[in-house]
Amino acid sequence: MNNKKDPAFRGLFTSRDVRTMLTDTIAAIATGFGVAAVGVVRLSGPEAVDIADRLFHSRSGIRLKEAESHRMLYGTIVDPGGGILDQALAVVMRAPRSYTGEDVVEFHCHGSPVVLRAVLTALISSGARSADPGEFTKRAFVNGKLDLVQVEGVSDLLYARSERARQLAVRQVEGALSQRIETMRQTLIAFLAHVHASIDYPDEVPEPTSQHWSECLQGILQQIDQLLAEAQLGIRVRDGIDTVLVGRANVGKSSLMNALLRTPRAIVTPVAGTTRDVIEESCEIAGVAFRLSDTAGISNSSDPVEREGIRRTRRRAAEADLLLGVFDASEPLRDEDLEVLRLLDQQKSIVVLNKSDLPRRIDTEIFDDRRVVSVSAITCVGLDALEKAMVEAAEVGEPKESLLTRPRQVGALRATAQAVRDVILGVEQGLTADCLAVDLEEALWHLGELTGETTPDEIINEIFSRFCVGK
Amino acid sequence: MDGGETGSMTFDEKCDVIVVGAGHAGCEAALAAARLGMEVLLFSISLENVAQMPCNPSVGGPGKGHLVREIDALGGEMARCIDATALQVRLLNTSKGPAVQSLRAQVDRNLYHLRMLQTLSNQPRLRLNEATVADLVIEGGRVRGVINQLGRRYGAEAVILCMGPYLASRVHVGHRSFPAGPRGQREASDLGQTLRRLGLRLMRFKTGTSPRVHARSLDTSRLTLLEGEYPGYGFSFETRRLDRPPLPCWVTHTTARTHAIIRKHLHDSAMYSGAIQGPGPRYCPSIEAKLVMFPDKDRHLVFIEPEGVHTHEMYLAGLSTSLPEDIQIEFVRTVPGLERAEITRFGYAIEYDCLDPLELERSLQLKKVKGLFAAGQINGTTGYEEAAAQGLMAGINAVRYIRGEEPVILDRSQAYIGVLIDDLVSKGTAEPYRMMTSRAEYRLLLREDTADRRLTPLGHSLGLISPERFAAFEKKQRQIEAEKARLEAVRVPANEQTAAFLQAMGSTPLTQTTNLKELLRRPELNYETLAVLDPEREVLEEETVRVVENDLRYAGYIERQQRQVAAQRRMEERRLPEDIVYSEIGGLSLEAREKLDRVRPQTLGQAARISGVSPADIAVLLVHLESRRRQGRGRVE
Repeated sequence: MNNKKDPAFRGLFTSRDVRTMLTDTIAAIATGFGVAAVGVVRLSGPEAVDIADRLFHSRSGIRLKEAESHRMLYGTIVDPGGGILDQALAVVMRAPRSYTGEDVVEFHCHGSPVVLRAVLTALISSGARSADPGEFTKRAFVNGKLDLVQVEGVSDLLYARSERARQLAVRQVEGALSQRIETMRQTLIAFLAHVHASIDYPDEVPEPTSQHWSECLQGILQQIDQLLAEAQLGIRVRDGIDTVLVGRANVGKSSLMNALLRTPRAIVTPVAGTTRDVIEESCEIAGVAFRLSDTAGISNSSDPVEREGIRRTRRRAAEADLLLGVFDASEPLRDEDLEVLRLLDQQKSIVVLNKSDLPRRIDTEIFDDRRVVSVSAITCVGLDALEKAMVEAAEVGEPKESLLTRPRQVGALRATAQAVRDVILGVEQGLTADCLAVDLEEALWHLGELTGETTPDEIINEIFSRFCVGK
Repeated sequence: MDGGETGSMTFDEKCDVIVVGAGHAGCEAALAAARLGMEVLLFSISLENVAQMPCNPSVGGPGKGHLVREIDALGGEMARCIDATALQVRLLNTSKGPAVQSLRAQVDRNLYHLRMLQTLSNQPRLRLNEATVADLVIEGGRVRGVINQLGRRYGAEAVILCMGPYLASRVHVGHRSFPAGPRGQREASDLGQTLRRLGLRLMRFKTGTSPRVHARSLDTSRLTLLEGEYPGYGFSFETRRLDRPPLPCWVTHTTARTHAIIRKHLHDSAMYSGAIQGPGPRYCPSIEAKLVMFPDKDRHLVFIEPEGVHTHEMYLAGLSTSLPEDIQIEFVRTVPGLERAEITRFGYAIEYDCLDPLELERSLQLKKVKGLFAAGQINGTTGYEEAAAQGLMAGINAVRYIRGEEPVILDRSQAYIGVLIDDLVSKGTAEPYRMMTSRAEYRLLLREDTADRRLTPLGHSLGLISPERFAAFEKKQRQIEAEKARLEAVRVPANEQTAAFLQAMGSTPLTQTTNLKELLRRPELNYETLAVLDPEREVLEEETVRVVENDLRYAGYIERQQRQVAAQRRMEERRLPEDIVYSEIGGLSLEAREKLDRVRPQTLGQAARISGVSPADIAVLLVHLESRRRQGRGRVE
């Protein structure tokens, strides 16, 4: 094995990369995290133009399919149901004259993360696959776009570029975690070997009983579920706790957010956004990353723009890790405050009684049984207590070393779990061993993203080391 | 090209194709070439040994049975010959699903030989010749003919090597060993020297066989009867059912005493005394190897199989051994039912030279010598079926080579034959290669019952399928499609009668009108039981019904595998140019460079299956292909 020579480059490609390179169309938000004036969603692969064409209506009536390469078109992006997502510019760059060397389409949208995410979701539900980190670059590489003459130079470049990412990935699947995954893989291989041995040597090896099937598979499923639960935590640790500030208008949400951000801690992306949208910023408190989102105030307004803002706030609140319900302590509760309280019921939350520098007129009885913190966003009194409460509520605990944090790894585990569930269901429905074996192989294939591919030879070796067969 | 005799020469006789060796590979190769219009010369060391079965008198089983069906679907001979000479057949894995269901036959060894000899003798353009081929004639990197042991020269456009395990073979019994082929035949070592001179890599493999006993010395009251099916299924499309009454097999097992004797004398076994180096093949382990590898197992099964109707010899499958004769007698007699066993032939181990299959192209032509093909055990495989399958493909491709046509390459998703050859020429093998269902990743598409659908159109277009048979094939396919369409069209109302039927079958009642196709997908129902709801149905052949049922019931899985095949096909479509210089491609790992250079894969897909070639290496190859393509176009960008 000479793989030690350029390990980073070699670790960069998995067998899925190579197989899917010729078939899959991938999509991703190409611009950075946070709010910016413009955000780009990029699509690359054999179906890129077709998929984009279905979701984009140009003002001029020109279809993307027929559009000239490298020419910007203005129009609307719709979701597959026909709902308008954004006004945007679209540009088709046909192969090989594109970044990846494949057909590429870019949508230049408004820079709000919410809009960009919605566009990406629409593309994925229309047949694209969410791109893995670095996947566009990998495609550019194999299509010779980075350097056609000096392939060696390219691999050096990739080496340097991916070393950090690779080290991260390697560290993640080392030690206890990789041990757990490998044990799981071995269990699957042993079981698959049993199934195949009974198929290839029916006179000598009895078929596993359905009890045998379900015991083995339920065990694996439990292990995967546990890993996935830990992975959720890992992703939160990496991406930051998704924290949303909700409250009626004028309770001081924005000041509170500024207070939290103004503290002398790392402020990652302080960018202003459009007024009607959710504003997101990141900060770090006691080593824990938080993504703070300010939202439009809850009101009973009949203004259509405001109603839309409120709708988004609700949706945003529903997907948050942590809600900060902000109330004005200097005023009595209003109907809108009760509405906010209902929102808090859905999620892990902290009640923040703002404006503690003013005389208190709020009735706090209604907040009994809740986590309540009094602060003044203006004087910053009580901010420490709030931060402490946030870190507690985040429940990240001591940072663990062996956490799955990459969406791709988590995706592979989920797919493994799904394949295992299919097998369990198949056993219950009385599916025959030939089909069950294929589902088991699929589970191993997905697990291969984390452990490396399982080859047929490994299964065959297992058969002959476990079963005395052949005559 | 160094090796063989060179220079312009005259020949004593000429033909189109020469086949060296008349085992299972050689017979199929010679028949295919002759049927495709070639003048064929088939050499055998002994014509009494054409199509011999020196090991188990049995053919088929999972993976192997699939191969036999495929050979038949392409127009080969093996299946017809088995059907004509089978002593018993059993359909295996009936509970494990249609993809792995497979037929296995006990075959009358002598009748099989005679039936094949007769077929060869009746074949126009095919001549049999008893001789030992001693050398190859090679000129300008191209095979021109062969020379026999007496110096007679035969010219041909293509030569197919099917020598089985006869190259420098050595038989071992206990501490004694002597040069010989299976069943006491002469070995052939001259040709091995020729192959070495040509710079071909040879490997030394070993295998073994079991003692045979006289049937009258068995105590059948202590054996478990293993009966065949009657009437049994046949392997060939042309066979309906076998109506001969089957002969029984028997099962027994080794005992603690057997194991004690074998352990005590392990150092006397050729495999363990040091006479033969390295481990034996895993696919047919000797009883010694089983005891060593699985010391905790207190018994091993022994299958007692009849060798034919004209002999009382019985084969003791599971007791392959190279222990000395007296130890064989001693341990065999500790097996229940074999206490008075009268051994007619002793077991032995045999080692032999074979080609490293990485020397082959996917057409089974040797990379280093044009027109020279190899098939069967010489390529590192074990098994009659594996040999026959290669023989057929080598025969077909030798003819296509002579005619200047593209070789026929079966895809992994098309046939077990494709898996077999792709595995051999892409991965090589470190021990005798046996087909197993787990090797075929698209096995749900490679059912026994669809071998004809997968391969008969190809066999027909090649010219190996008769017009009558092709007409029957097409009729069957039309019936299958028509029946599938009909089952979808027949509506089943959600009424009381339906509910009563479904309840009786242990199935859930309908909530709305459905059709028979949907009902057929329920595991608890099948085509036969659905007759109650389907009074209009016509009587169809059993084989036709089987395909309809399997197609519909497994539609979801079949579609899934077809999608995988489609994705893989993109990789197979990317051809790797023949002049590619792997050592000059930057970014490839050293191991990948060596492996790629040795295998010289023909497609990117094949390259990806080579062990030691990582996905990163494939990515590098993609880059290389793209840059070549652009340079070829004069770099437009």
